[in-house]
Amino acid sequence: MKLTGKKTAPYRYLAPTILLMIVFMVIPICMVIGYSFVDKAVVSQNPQFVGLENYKTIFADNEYIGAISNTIIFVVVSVVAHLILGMLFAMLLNSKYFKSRTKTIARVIYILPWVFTASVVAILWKLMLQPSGIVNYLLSIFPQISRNTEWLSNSSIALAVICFINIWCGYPFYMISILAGLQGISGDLYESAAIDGSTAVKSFLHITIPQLKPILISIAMLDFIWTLQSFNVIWMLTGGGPVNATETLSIYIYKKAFQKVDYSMAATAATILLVVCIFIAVFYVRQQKKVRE
Amino acid sequence: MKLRTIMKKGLAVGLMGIMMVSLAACGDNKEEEKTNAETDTKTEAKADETGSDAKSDVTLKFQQWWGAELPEGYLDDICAKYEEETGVKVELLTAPWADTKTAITAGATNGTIADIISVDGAWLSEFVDMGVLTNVEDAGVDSSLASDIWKVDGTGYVVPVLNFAYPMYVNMDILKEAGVETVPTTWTELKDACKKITDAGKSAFALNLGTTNANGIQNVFMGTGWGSGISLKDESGAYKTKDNAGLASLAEMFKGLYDDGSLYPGMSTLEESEMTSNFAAGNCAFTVASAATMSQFTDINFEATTIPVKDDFKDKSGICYASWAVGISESCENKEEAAKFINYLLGGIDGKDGSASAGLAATMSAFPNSTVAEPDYSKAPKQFQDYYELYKQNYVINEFIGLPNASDVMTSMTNDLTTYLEGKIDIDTLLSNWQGYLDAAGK
Repeated sequence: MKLTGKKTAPYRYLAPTILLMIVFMVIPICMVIGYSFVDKAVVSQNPQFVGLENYKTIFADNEYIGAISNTIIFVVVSVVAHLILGMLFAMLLNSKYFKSRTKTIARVIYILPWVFTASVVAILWKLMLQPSGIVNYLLSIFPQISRNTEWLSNSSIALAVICFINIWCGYPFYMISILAGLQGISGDLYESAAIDGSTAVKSFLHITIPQLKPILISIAMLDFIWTLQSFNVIWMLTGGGPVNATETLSIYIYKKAFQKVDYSMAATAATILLVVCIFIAVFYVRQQKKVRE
Repeated sequence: MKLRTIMKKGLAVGLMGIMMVSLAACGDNKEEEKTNAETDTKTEAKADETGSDAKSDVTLKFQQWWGAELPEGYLDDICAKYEEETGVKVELLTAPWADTKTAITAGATNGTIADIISVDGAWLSEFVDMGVLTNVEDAGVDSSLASDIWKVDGTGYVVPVLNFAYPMYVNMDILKEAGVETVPTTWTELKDACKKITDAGKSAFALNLGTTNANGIQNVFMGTGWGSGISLKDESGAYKTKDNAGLASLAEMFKGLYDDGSLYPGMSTLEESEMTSNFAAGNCAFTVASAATMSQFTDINFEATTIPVKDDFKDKSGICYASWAVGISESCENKEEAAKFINYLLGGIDGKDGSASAGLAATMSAFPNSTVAEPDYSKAPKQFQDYYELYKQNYVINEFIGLPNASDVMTSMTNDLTTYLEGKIDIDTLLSNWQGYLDAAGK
């Protein structure tokens, strides 16, 4: 087979992309997986192969178990709330009861939280939620509520507050995606249902939801992966504190690598997270394939 | 003439032109080489004149975060002056403090580590364990030029150039408003003052226990302890927190402040930068921060003083400090030249000129570790000049320098201190847990 022949043409076209993917994705991922099987990775020139020892150690680490628990709460609460809020706002914007101009203004306002970068979101909320911030000031109108609530420094409510902020900045993605889906549903379906005596709730459950199902599953999968990897906002707001109360897996990995200089354990935690993400990604790809078919 | 002929002739002329230019360039190179050789001879002669036998073909790489914090070009000027005087080029590799450790660690593993590296006290032990650092005195660093050299097991690895002391800043307007007439000097006075300030509706004392960079346990908590001679170590120099009566009294003093509501709210996620900016905004009466931050406090009426001491304490106070310090990497091929540059930073070419160190100190509101530097603080704020006198009367201390896995240990200690202040564990558990972290460090 000639190297410059027709048969090799597709591979030649793909070669630059494949090369880039190997250099910037495959090799680093393989290196991280490799680090998870050695001790003193990166910091030692002769790290020793330790097999699954790092995996045994990490599952015996209470801090890691705490991080898993926090991550599950953070991800599940965020994804479910995103879905409900996104659906609510999308239906509001798709409703026939508002004028077109009102809808446009509302759409711009609703999408704003998604436009802000993580640093802006973190600074904004940190300023608002600090003990002398505007939230406590506004709450002081109500005599029963203390003006000194430490929203981000109280270990019993910090994770809930972080979830709230993540929900606030993430729902517009759902709203836009669902709105696009809603606009694609034929009005005939609703009209036929109305003739058959269907109520609004029944129409929602038996027409809207089934029609939106592919979109809902896709965005939920994507959001699941993104939220699982969420780092910037949490790091800038609490750094995983107080006393690890908001430490998610990504924060745990960062602390292991860059504070404790334990790259082996950081790589172990990252590899486990990678496996979880791959499972979700495979599910997502299958779902997409099903939609196409 | 045919187009083909024109193109042929044009190509020939073009090629000739390229050849001519190339030849001319070769001639220039020869001239340049000659000029360079002359310059090198002159530089070597100059180096001999100044008593330095530095080689002009040496380039030293200097990894540090200083350039990111100094005024732009300040460090480059020092290096340019050094090159002018010795012929040795110093190439600066500048990264923010937070990235420097990663850069050094990665460089040490893949063989791209710089010749001279800037080291934080919390990294010292790890770098020594990794074999990153060489014995600076063996390399040729003149120990008489430095007041202090950081050692591990008796071997000197790192030389501080600047020391940043941590005074207690006092907002005098808040004190006046709360009816506190004098700056507190003892723990009882501090507690009473904090109570009055809190009762007046103001925030009193800031303790940063955020763990993004867990240094509140060092700068504020232990800074207060060191001021009263309280130590993390026993007389033999081993870390001893369990049954340490001094530490227990220190923790109980802070617990008292917490229970009185005198600690700045949000302490468990409060970071050093937030603490400083809140003090600068006039939101807090007392804060412990680096003397270098003093220039930020332009809009408030403040004093800088030593931290109040235990009521019965009459001795000299220990002042918490952090440093800009340098070491030489083990893989450096020009260790002798690297040592000469460090000597230059401390005492100039002849070991008597501390101007580089003094200039850095005055620029950064820091104190030189050089024994020959005489910084001119005449342009510094009055508060800094007053504090300099207190600094000279006392001594600097930081027991976390050289502690294995210092960052990790400080994070764990911080988390436990938060839990203790919130009343979830007792003092014995706190000190016992700390002992566990310190014993396990480095194993």
